[in-house]
This record gives sequence, C-alpha cells and structure tokens, in this order.
Amino acid sequence: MTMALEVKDLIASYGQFHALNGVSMSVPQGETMALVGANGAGKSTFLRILCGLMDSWEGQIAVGGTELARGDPLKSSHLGLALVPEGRMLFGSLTVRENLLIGQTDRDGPWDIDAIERLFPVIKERRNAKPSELSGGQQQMVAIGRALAANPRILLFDEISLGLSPAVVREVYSALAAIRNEGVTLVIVDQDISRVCNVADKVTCFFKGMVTFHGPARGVTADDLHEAYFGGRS
Amino acid sequence: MIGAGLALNYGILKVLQLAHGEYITYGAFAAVGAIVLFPGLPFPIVLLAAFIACALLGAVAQWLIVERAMSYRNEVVAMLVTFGLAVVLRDSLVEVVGADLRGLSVGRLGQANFTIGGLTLGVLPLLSLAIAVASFGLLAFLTFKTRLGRQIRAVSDLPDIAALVGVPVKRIHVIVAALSAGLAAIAGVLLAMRASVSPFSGLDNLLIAFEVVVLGGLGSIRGVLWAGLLLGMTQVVSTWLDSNAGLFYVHLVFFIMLVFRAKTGRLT
Ligand SMILES: Nc1ncnc2c1ncn2[C@@H]1O[C@H](COP(=O)(O)OP(=O)(O)O)[C@@H](O)[C@H]1O
Ligand SMILES: [Mg+2]
Repeated sequence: MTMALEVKDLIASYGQFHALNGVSMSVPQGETMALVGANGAGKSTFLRILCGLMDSWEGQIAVGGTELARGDPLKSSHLGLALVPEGRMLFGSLTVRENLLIGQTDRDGPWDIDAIERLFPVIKERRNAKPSELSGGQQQMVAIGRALAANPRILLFDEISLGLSPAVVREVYSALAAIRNEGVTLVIVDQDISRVCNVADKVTCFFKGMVTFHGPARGVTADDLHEAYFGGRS
Repeated sequence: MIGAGLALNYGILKVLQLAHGEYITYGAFAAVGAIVLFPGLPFPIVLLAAFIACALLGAVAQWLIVERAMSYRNEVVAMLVTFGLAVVLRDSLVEVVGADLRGLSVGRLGQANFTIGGLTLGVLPLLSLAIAVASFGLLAFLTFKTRLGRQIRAVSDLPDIAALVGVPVKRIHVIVAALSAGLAAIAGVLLAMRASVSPFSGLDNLLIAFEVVVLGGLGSIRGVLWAGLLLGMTQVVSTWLDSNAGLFYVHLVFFIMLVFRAKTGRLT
C-alpha cells in the first residue's frame, strides 16, 4: 500500500516548548484521517508543519514517498498538499472567483472551476463578491474551493466546522463525500469527534503533542476515544 | 508618480524601500546618459530605457540583498538594509558622474504652450501628467486585471497562504521591486525634464514618495493610486497658477489631507 503521508518521530517546538513530542503515523493513499484532540494538543501545529508554515521541527515526514522540505510552503504545494485553514484565510483583496483561480496549479485532476461551482453553487452566485461580504459558511466553501482548485493529493482541514451553523456543517460534510470519491487523501481536524469519525477511515488522537490513538475508524468505540482524548492509559 | 513605486513596494513587500529616492535619481541620470550617448534618441525610447535600467537594478537589489534581509522577518532589519543600499547607490553615482546638477534638455518643448479659454497651458506639464496617468492606468490594469496582478495582491494579503497555494512569492517580490524601481525611473525622467537633478536629489524625492504613501493608506494599492494622482494634479495645477510654487502646494495639500483625516478619524 502506498502511503500518502508517513511521519516518524516528529518533534516540534516553539522556543523551549515542545508542541509535538514524537509523533509517528501513516495515512494510505486515498484514505480519510480524522485528527482529534483537545485544544492545544498540537493538531494545528502538525498541519502547519506539513504546509511548510513552520520550520522548527525534527523527524521524518514523507509525502507520497518524497521527503518534506522544512518551512517552504511553495514546496509543500508542489508536493500536492493543500490546506483549508482555521479561520478560512481567504485573500481579502481578491474576489471569490479570483480566490479560486489563484488556487489552480498545473496538476491535472477533476477539480476545474466548473466542478467546484457545481459542488458549491453559492460560489458561482457570489463570484464577484469580496470574501468580507460573505457569511462564514460561504467563506468556508470558498476556502474549500480554493484548496480543491489545486487538485491536491492531500487535502488538510483545520477546525472544519468551527463557527459554522449546523446546516452549513451538513453541507460541508456532504461535499466531503464527493471529494473523497475523487481519490484525494483527507486529513480533517474537527471538534465534533463523532461526526468526523463517521466519514474517516482512520482516526488519530493527539494529547499534549503525543499520539494516544492511531487506528482504523471502524470499530473504534466512544470509550476508546474518550480515553485517548484525555491522555489514554498511563 | 513619485510615490506609486514606493507604495507598491511597501504594500506588497512590507519593506520601506529607502533607496526609492535613489531609483528616481538613477532614472533621471539614465535618461540624461542615454541622450548624451545617443543624441537624437526618441523620447519614448529614452523613457523605456530608464524604466528598464532601473527595473533591472531594483530586481537585482531585491534578489541579492533585500530578499535576504526580509528572511529575518523584521521590518527594521530590511529597512536598514535598504538605507545602506540607498547610500551605496548615491555614492556610486557621485563617483561616476560627479556632484553636478544635470537636466534633460527638452528644447523648445519647455516653453511650448497653448491657450484654451484664456488659460495658458504648458505642453511640458501636460505631457508629464499624461505620462503619469498612463503609467497609473497600466499599473492599475496590471494589478486588477491580470494573473500577475492577482498573485501580487494575494502576496500582499497573506504571503504564507499565497505560497501554499502555489504562488512563487520570491519571484513576485522581485517583479514588484522591479516595477517599483521602474516607476521611480519614469518619475525621475519627468523630473529631469522640468528641473535639474543632482545625485543628492534622492532624499527630497523620497520625502514626496512618503507623503503619497501615507496619504494613500499604507499598503493600499488603490488608495495610493488616488493619492498619487491627487498630489500629481496638485503639482501640475499649482505650477500653472504660480510657476515659483515648487512643491509647496503639494506639501500643503498633503498636510490639509492629513488634518482632515485626523479629524474624521480615518488615519489608517
Ligand atoms: N505561535 C506559537 N507560539 C508558542 N506556542 C504556540 C504557538 N502556537 C501554538 N502554540 C502552543 O502549542 C501547543 C499546540 O497548539 P496547536 O497546535 O494550535 O493545538 P491545537 O490545534 O491542537 O489546538 C499549544 O500548547 C499552544 O499553546
Ligand atoms: Mg488548532
């Protein structure tokens, strides 16, 4: 089985503080991994490292078999990584449509602008609007659209449903099903553990920068996760 | 015109380019030099040559020097480096051409004028204005209507995220630095047509550039385009009305606008 993502002994630090403390995991090509854990567990730090947005780390990370560069977001993009960041992070001086166009890369794939607009019709309706004129839910759809436009091999979501209404969360999750079917590998961070585990093949739980659970999503019980979430057996 | 390049540079790169005044001087001297070397060279070619020479200078300086300073992610470090660059550029120019004043001989164009409705208009200021407006137009088109402009705006908004979606941020920085220095060069040529320039003119010009940038709102491309036009018009109109005014009215308008802004609370 080819691995989309392989991580060994990853240590990340902010100054003296170790935000990740020996993280190892792997995600097979085309699978969806739920990444859960309490606030401050290190989930965002992990995604930032993958995206080249942080350079103070040690360990090995391979993306599709290629070693990840340290702190180089452009190289991360070339490896096929794309991020739907916490807080959307859309380009404020670009229109909705321009935010999608700028996401496009040379990689072939199913996600041209038409396909993205079919997935989220609102993107087409508001194509000339600026991100600040959109609701939070619409912004999240544009952020997902921008990431999809790259036809990524691995798509990362940080706090995918944070601040969204239940209806929007349902729409976003049903879009995830369509995205998965196209064969992209997904890593999803969400506070709603049962919802994210429902769409995942694999679950990883962080606790204070360490992996307290890493295994198939099927068969994992609420008790297992509850224990891992609060630090696991020790 | 003078401020547009500086604003572009600050807006995108978040580095206050203190060598900007020097680029203006270099543009003027490039034009003077081109005319001395090739008398009778058509004016548009001279303008283009000055633009290209300074754009190359700006690109190389960004690529070799400023970009490295920027990697410290500290605005002061980068600014100090551009200050050093400014001094080096000025002193090398003095070394090469001496400290004399130079002007671009514009022949009879300087005195040429025509009259509409009782108002006598000089051809030269009008030509300057036309070139400035055309440059702004091109810059606006580039920024808001092209793929490069989209990438430039994205880098200005969120550089890290721009890189993550595949925008070659460093290349964009070099292009912006080149454009910015090229615009400075055009401003320099226009200045040289109206007055003399010396290798020490850089600082004065940097001051005007600052005004345009502050007036337009730091880092707002759209705002700076408007501010540049306003101050440029002020200068042209004031020289019509009072040929000895120099830059007095420009500074005055700047000051009034600042006070007005402070009153309305829109100082950012
Ligand atoms: N920029 C930073 N500087 C210092 N510490 C940070 C920084 N960002 C995050 N941290 C710390 O690193 C730890 C992990 O944070 P984060 O990865 O954001 O966790 P999560 O996304 O799981 O909530 C937290 O203890 C947080 O306080
Ligand atoms: Mg987080």
